[in-house]
Amino acid sequence: MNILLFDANHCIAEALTQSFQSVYMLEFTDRLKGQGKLCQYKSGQRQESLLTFDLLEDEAASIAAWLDQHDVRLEAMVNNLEQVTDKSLLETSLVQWQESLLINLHFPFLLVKALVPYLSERGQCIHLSSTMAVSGESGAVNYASHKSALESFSKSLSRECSERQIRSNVISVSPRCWKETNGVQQVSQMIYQMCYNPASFLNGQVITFDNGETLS
Amino acid sequence: MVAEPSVVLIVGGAAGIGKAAAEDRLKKGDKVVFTDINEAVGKQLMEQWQAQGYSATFIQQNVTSWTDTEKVAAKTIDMYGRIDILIVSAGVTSQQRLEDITYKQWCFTLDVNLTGLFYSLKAVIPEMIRNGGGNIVIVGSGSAITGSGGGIHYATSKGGAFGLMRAVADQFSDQGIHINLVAPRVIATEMLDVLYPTEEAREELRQKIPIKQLGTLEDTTNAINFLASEASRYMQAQVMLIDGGRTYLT
Ligand SMILES: NC(=O)c1ccc[n+]([C@@H]2O[C@H](COP(=O)([O-])OP(=O)(O)OC[C@H]3O[C@@H](n4cnc5c(N)ncnc54)[C@H](O)[C@@H]3O)[C@@H](O)[C@H]2O)c1
Repeated sequence: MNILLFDANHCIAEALTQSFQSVYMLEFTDRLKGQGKLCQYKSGQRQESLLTFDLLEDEAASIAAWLDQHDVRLEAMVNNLEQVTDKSLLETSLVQWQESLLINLHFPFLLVKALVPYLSERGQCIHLSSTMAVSGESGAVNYASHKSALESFSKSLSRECSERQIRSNVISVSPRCWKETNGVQQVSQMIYQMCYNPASFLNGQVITFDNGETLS
Repeated sequence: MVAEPSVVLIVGGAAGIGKAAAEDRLKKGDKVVFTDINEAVGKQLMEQWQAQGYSATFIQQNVTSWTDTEKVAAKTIDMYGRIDILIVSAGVTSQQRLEDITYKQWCFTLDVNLTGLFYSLKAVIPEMIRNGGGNIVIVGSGSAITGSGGGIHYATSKGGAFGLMRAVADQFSDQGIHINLVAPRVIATEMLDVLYPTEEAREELRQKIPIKQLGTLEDTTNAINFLASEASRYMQAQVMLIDGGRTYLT
């Protein structure tokens, strides 16, 4: 089983390398420029970097070409890219808004568009979102808005890809869940379950980890 | 409670849903400032409405420009001293599959439909608060709920409006900001022509709607008026679908 994680610099990354045999990851060297290296973890061990990428330069074509050349098919892409700015509407600068759009939406679009063809039949996209998309959160206007957009992105993607039996779902996690001692573990277990025990009827949905906080 | 006649700012008011809302508010005796990227049509409408004795002002605006948006808010305040109602209707769509959407098209759609909304709220809300509050109606879309209609870029941009509205409500509800979103689906406007250009395609679409009718501009105007009024006082940060039952019955 091969999975691709969009951002190695995220608390979920280590947990996934522990539970999956092979995890490809994007290690950003400059996230706002979309530059970094593709690397692979095998049995928890980081291997040599496989290539350098520049998303704004080639829109993920180099990553797609590498997967093609090496005949790699992915069972799942995990979109965990996120940029949180704790700013309200009036405090948020135009630059902060654009940066948040870039990381939370533009890069996932470029990666998904380029790499969906490398998902195996019955493969899936799993996006990490936040309950802030539903609860609002005045303190993080960018994040609430862009994660809410991501949830619609996933629904639309599930429709587009269903012909190939590729599914797209969201795991929405509350800020409190991430802070719980085993919060990260719970989310990574969910991803593990979704990959190793795939439910073919689970498509276009938002699975929420919030201990009932949001309920709407 | 907003003053009557009200000062109404309509963003994207030269066509379709925004234009119909503008015309209706003018007939009710409100002072309407409407903006649009389409200067020729906007000016022509303004002249026509003014000639009919209505208090209509057109300001050309590209919603993706913060400078334009700030200018619109400032000019409206200069003219009337307040903004009672804000209706944000400007939007773009194109029916494309994921693999055919270029990065440029993706960014363009998000810029107009989502960043444009962010700018409007950012520019107008402080003015409303200075005046004790105001009513805001966002023209969103049912595509955000279903992920269908208008391509993934469109659904994504409209989904962003939901979270943005909720974040704004979370912060400003206790400062007199009354904000809701009307989510139309398949309303007979020029935008619908883009998605369903032939009568055949429209008929096929009509058959998919539980009430077997396309929505009209009267339907959206009624919903916008309700959300912009005291009658919906206890509704806050809600999505009101105007869809002939399409979203939940099919
Ligand atoms: N018609 C429908 O069936 C339908 C369904 C769901 C949602 N909507 C939403 O309703 C809103 C209005 O749609 P409509 O059907 O009246 O479309 P329309 O195309 O008739 O009108 C949209 C208006 O927005 C203006 N506009 C576009 N880009 C702009 C920019 N950058 N700056 C300023 N103005 C700009 C256009 O010039 C036009 O006057 C849109 O946000 C659309 O997404 C429409």
